[in-house]
Order: sequence, then structure tokens, then C-alpha cells
Amino acid sequence: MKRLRRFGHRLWKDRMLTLMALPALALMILFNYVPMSGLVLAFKKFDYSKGLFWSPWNGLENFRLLFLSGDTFWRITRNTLLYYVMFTAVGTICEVALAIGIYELVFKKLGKGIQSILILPTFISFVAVSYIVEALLQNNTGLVNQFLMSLGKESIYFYMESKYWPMILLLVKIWKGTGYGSVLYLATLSGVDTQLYEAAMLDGANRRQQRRYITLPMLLPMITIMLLLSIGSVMHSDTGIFYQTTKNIGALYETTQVLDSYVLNAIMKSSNYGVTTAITLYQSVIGFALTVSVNMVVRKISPENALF
Amino acid sequence: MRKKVTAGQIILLIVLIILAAACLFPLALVVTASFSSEISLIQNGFLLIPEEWSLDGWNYVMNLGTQLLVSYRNTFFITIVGTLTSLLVMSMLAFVLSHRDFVFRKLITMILLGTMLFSGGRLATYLVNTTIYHLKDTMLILCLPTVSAMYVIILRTYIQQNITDSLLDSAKIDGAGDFRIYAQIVMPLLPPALASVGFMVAIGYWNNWETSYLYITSNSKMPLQLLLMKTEKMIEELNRSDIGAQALAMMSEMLPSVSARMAMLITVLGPIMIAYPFFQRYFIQGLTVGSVKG
Repeated sequence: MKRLRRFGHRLWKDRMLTLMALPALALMILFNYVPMSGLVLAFKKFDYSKGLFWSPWNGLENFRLLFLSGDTFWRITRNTLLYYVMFTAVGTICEVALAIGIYELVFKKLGKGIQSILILPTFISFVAVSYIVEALLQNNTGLVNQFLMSLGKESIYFYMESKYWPMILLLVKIWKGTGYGSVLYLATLSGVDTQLYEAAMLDGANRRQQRRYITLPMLLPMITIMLLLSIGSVMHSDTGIFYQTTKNIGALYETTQVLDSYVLNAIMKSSNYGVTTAITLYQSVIGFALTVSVNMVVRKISPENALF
Repeated sequence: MRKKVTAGQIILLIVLIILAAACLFPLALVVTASFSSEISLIQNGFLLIPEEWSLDGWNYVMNLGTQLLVSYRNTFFITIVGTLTSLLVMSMLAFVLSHRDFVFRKLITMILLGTMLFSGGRLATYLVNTTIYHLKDTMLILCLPTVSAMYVIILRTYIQQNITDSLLDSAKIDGAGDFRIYAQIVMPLLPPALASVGFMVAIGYWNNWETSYLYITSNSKMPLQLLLMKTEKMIEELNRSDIGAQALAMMSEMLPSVSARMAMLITVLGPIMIAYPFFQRYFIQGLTVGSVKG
């Protein structure tokens, strides 16, 4: 009774704050939590006339179809994972290298300017990127093919051959993400005590040794945390890069279609909603498990970077 | 730190400058292509310095009139309304969560983090939005406020670090209610954080193609990104289909040429390029604050 009264008192005291939290709360419930209920469709046979919640159940049929019918499911899972590994590995190396480069540059003003330029592509939409990539790769007029032809070589039909695309997408990713990704590492480095370097120099350490024994160890915790946190979103890729840059061309699906772009394509084509929901459920469940377990690890090594 | 200009430093500088140039190169290509004549683009392809300059592409964009203007208006409307409402909603939540003794603090933080942990996925969200909320082909779905856990945490951390308890206490003693403290004390101190989060949120609205692609069907609600996508699709279809030569000639007359498409692209990228230098300082700060959770 006493506790209830105390709670009532606190509630009354915080009535204005509660009111101020309401808009955000309502948005999250309506557009984040209610849609989760739509995942029941993974266990249903979708019938447009009956709608989301009144369609008949069909047990695990959608999953059976998913796992057994053809290689599409395995292919998009494989692509999702391989692109994650490739983007994360190469991306992190480039970001760290760039951060160290800018950090070591004595021309600080120029370094800032260069950094600003390198961040710029992050803000270009993937629709625009697809225009730009097309200007470079078009069959006859693209810059790359112009160059090949001027060397007397055959032009390459990039938009028909899937084998070139992992490389092309990696380049797009590096172009778009490296400057932005390096900001965090650069900020970490600017917090390093410069006395460390002075002491190292007194001990006769050269540039490379300083980099190896001071700079890299200082960056390592941040690198580890960023890598760990990124594992939580393995199942989700940036849809833009896979859907827009490839112009969603069927001939390129073999090496470029990932879970997210597959789902988007399925929605636009209104193909089997039950099976497609099963794919999104599979994405969400694995994503959830990974985020929670990764968070447990992060909390052990660096509590202030853990999500919860 | 070490301030010697050595040969190594010069090499490093040159490498970085080359990287920056490589980074800008594709953009420069788009700009010059928009000023190329169509014939030189078709015959010689994309070149950094075109054979023949021309303003045809830009003339086309200037004369495009209605649809481009409508799309421009839509994108501006969505970006402004979406960003302002997002900032209002998120800063209020961040202010509320910055009170360590707030009665629902644990519960609301859990709900907030829950949105990062699990999602209904693209299809379930789409079906709920269209069949239950009936948001298909509405402006509302495009400018719905964003509530992102990451941004709320950035704002909350900023409030906790920059607004001292003594300031809040003295306001309380003077009889200010929570909302007045938010509006008259916290808000005036918040602009740097709002600028950094606001810029990211605004870019999100400006560049969002997916929502309009999924939900928008009528031309009057089409934002710029969707217009770019539709133009691209029309051109592809034109290249693919085996329609008669006469129909083809008629259609291609209506369609933007390559240089016109590049000019269109610049009108879409332009505002971001112009806004970026003003916001980049805040944006870098915000990104760094976000990495430290309070």
C-alpha cells in the first residue's frame, strides 16, 4: 500500500515527462512493434481478401518451401554472408589506414579538408550512385569501356556478366563508406596522449615501430567493438547497394542478390507473401540472437559500449 | 606532436590528395557529362573533358517543368517536415530519459532498445502499413517521424553532459515545470546536437528511395529519388522493347537524353552538396559523441 502510494506520487510528479515521452512511444509501438505481429504470416497462407490476420494457418509449410525449393534461399544467404565478410574486412582495413594516414599528416588543415571530401560520398543516395556507376560501366559509352576500347580491347558487357560484380560493389562500398567510417577511429586517435610518442622517440623507436606499438594497440579496442557490433546486423545489408547499383538485373542475381534485396523484389512483384515473410522472420530471429550474444561479449570487454 | 616536414610526409600528402581526387572523380564526370552535347556523349562516351560542350541537358531540365518541380517540392516538404518532427519527438524523449529518477525510465529505455533488437521485417511492416493503417500512396508514410535509438542516445548523452543538475535545480526552485525547462532551458543549449542529428536525419529523408518505391503510386506525390528511378526504368524499357522505329523516335523525344539525366542528377545532389560544408563540423562531433554511451 505504501509502495503503491509512493508510485502514485512519483507518477504525479512525472506526469509532464510521461506526456512528453508519449509521441515517441506511440510511434515506436505503431511502426516498430505492431508490424512484428505481421510475422505470423510466416505460418500462414496469405489470402488478400482475408487480410493479414484472418488468412488460414498452414503450419511450417512456408519454411518447408523455403528450405527445399531450389537454391535461391541458399544463394541469397551465402551472398549476404560473403558480402558482410568482404565489406567488413576490407572496409575496416581501409578505414583504419585512412585514419592513421590523416592522423600522422602534419598538414592538419589539409588533412581536415581531405577528410571532408572523402566523407562526401556517404551522403549520395544509391539511386544517384546507380546513375554514376552506369556512366562508368555502360556497354558502349561508359568510361571504363571507352578506356578498354582505346587500348584496342573488347568492351565488357558489365550489366550482363555477374562475375565482375563483387569487385564493383566492393569498390562502391569503399568509395561510399571509408571516409565516414574513419571518423570514429580518427577521433579515438586524437584522444591518445602524445607523450607516449615522445617517450617512444626518446627510446629510439622509429615511425613504423611507433605505429605498431602505440597507434595500433590504441585503436584495437575500438576496432574490436565496431566489428562485434556489426555482427548483429549480418543478416541485413544496405539494400541500396544491392538493389540500385545492380539495377536489380536478373542476370546479376547469382552474385549480387542478398536477403534484403530479394525481399524487396518479392514485395514489388507481389510473389508468395507467406514464404517471403518466412525469410524476414529468419532474418529477424538470427539478427536478434546475434545482437544479444554479441552484446554480452561487448559488455564484458567494454561496458560503456554495450547497447544494454 | 612531431612537426617535421619530411619526404615521408610529402608522399603521404600526395597519396591522400590522390585519394580525394579519385573520390571526387565520378562526381566530376557527372557534372561535365551534363554539359556535354548528346552527340559527343553517344559517339565518344563519357569523358572528363567532353569533345563538345552544350547546355542542352540543362535546357531540358529547366523546361521539364511540372513533374520535376512537383517532385522537388515533395522532397523538400518531406525532408523539412520529417526532420523537424523527428527532432521534436526524439529530443523530448531524450530529455525525459536524461532524468535518472523518471518513473518509467527503465520501461521506455527497454522499448527504445527493443526497436534495435528485433523488427517485423520489410514485408510485415509493409502489410501492416498498407492493410491496417492504409498508408499506401499517402504523404504521411513519407514524412513519418523517425525514432532511432542511436539518435536518442546521442541527444540524451549530450543533455546529460552539457546541462548541469544545478541549472535544472535552480529552474525548478523558480517554479518552472518540466516542459518549460525543456522548452526554455534545454532547447536553447541543444543546437549543436540537433544540427548533427538533424543533418543525418534530413539526409535520410532526402535520400530515401525505398519508402516511395514501395508506397507511392501517384505522380503528384512522387519525390525526387523515385523520379530518378522511374526515368531510369523508362529508358531501360525503351532500349529493351522491340517497338516500331516511329514510336521509338516519338518516345525518345520525350525522354531525357543522357546529358539531361546527368543534369537532373545534379539537381538532386546539389542541395546536399551545398548543405554539407555547413553541417560537417557538427556531424563529426555527433558521430563521436554517439560512440560514448552514458
